[in-house]
Amino acid sequence: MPPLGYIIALAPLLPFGLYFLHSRRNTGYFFIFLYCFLSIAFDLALHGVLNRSVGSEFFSYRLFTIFEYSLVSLFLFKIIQNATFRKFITFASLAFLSFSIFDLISSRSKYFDSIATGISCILILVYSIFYLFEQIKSPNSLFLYSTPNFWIVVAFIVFFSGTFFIFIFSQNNYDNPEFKATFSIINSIFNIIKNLLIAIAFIIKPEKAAKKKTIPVL
Amino acid sequence: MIWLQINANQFKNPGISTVLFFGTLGMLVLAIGLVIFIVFHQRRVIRYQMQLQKMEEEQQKILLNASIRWQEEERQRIAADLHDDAGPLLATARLYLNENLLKQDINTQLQSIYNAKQIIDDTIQLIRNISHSLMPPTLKNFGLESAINDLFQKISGTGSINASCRFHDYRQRLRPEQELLIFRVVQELVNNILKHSNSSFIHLTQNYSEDKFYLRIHHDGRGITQQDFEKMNKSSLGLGLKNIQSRIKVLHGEIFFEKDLSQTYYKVTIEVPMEVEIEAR
Repeated sequence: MPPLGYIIALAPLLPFGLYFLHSRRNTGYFFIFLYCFLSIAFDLALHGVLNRSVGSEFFSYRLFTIFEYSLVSLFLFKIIQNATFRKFITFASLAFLSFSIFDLISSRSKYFDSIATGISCILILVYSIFYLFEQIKSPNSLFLYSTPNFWIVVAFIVFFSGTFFIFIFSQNNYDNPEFKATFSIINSIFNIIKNLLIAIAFIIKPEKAAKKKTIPVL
Repeated sequence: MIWLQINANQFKNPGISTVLFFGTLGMLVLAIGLVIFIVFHQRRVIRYQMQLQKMEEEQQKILLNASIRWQEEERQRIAADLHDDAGPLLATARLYLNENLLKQDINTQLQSIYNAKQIIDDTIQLIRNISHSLMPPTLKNFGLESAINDLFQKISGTGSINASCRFHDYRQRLRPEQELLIFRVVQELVNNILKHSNSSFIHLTQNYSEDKFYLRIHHDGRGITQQDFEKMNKSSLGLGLKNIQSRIKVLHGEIFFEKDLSQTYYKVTIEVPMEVEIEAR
């Protein structure tokens, strides 16, 4: 594994460790913690093991996309308050997961799943942007950037928007060694940024919105 | 930039590297731009909310000061009434009933006692008037409808203005505290109309709708609109209006000042959420 590969593989260790260090025991953060754990597990061992056992290089990527989407959308589902949009997340997730699992079984993982990965990127970006707009509309007096959720959401926005194009092009160009190199560099950089942003989120202490000060009724 | 160099030198199709680079960069710029926009927008919204909150607090302070000032003025008025009217009357009565009375003849004694009795009756009436101005007995005993009817009859009785009122549905009385507050608001509004509007009539109507109690006062003189009311509330002028506002706030109600669509009348609408008295009267 090249040195950058180790950095990428071990980058999720930072938020992973901070999760324990700062005791962020909350269901939403637990999904992120699980996501970091799976990222480490896939990068260090599962990719190799799964690919060897199935006989396809792309099987583990496809499986990881399903896990990644599930955990990130669960986190976003947890933090989004709007009931209608939560229903939309449920239906979109059911549709996407059905499609991904069907594609995983039927395609026998012969190629990179650009469509599924692209759709997952778009869906997560939509959920994340909706979360930010919901925060603007809510009468909360906290600044957005003072909350851990904001940094986690920004991490996903940056990661999924940064890697969207390379994932879209992967299906047709993955055999090209130069493309592969570019893919790994871009993917690695955004992975590191994402993990740094998640680490920031775990460092920030969650604040509670201050109660509105009122003068007693006359 | 490393991957750009790799792409530029080694890609079989140089177009893909450019698309990848600009695509990724474009998406990233869009995403970061959106996040920055949201953060700055939220900051602006929070600042605006804080400013609004501050203004609201200032408004509350003005209302509180107005209420305190009104209470002080009311106390001064009562003190002045007692000191200037009741005091001299009782002192005069005392003069009639002094020790020298015994030394005078029977007719003078009877006259003095009669005069003293007259003065004491006047004092009783005066104290009753003061007491009634603090808490109208009609309101306490018979409720808001009777108290307002009484008030309007008295105004109409002067002959200077035609005052009428009609309660459409007041089978269930409000709580006594609410009735008193509403009565005071009506008194203040009517007082303002009599003082400033130069109108020829005042008409009050009452109704219920969707668990809300409504009172509406019409008059054909010079009036104020909601905008004027809010402006005067924020200024140091208009103590009476501030008292109206603070009473309406205590009632958790709303007050609307508007000009009729025909532009002939001014109307004031008081809207109070229903809190019916549970106790049987």
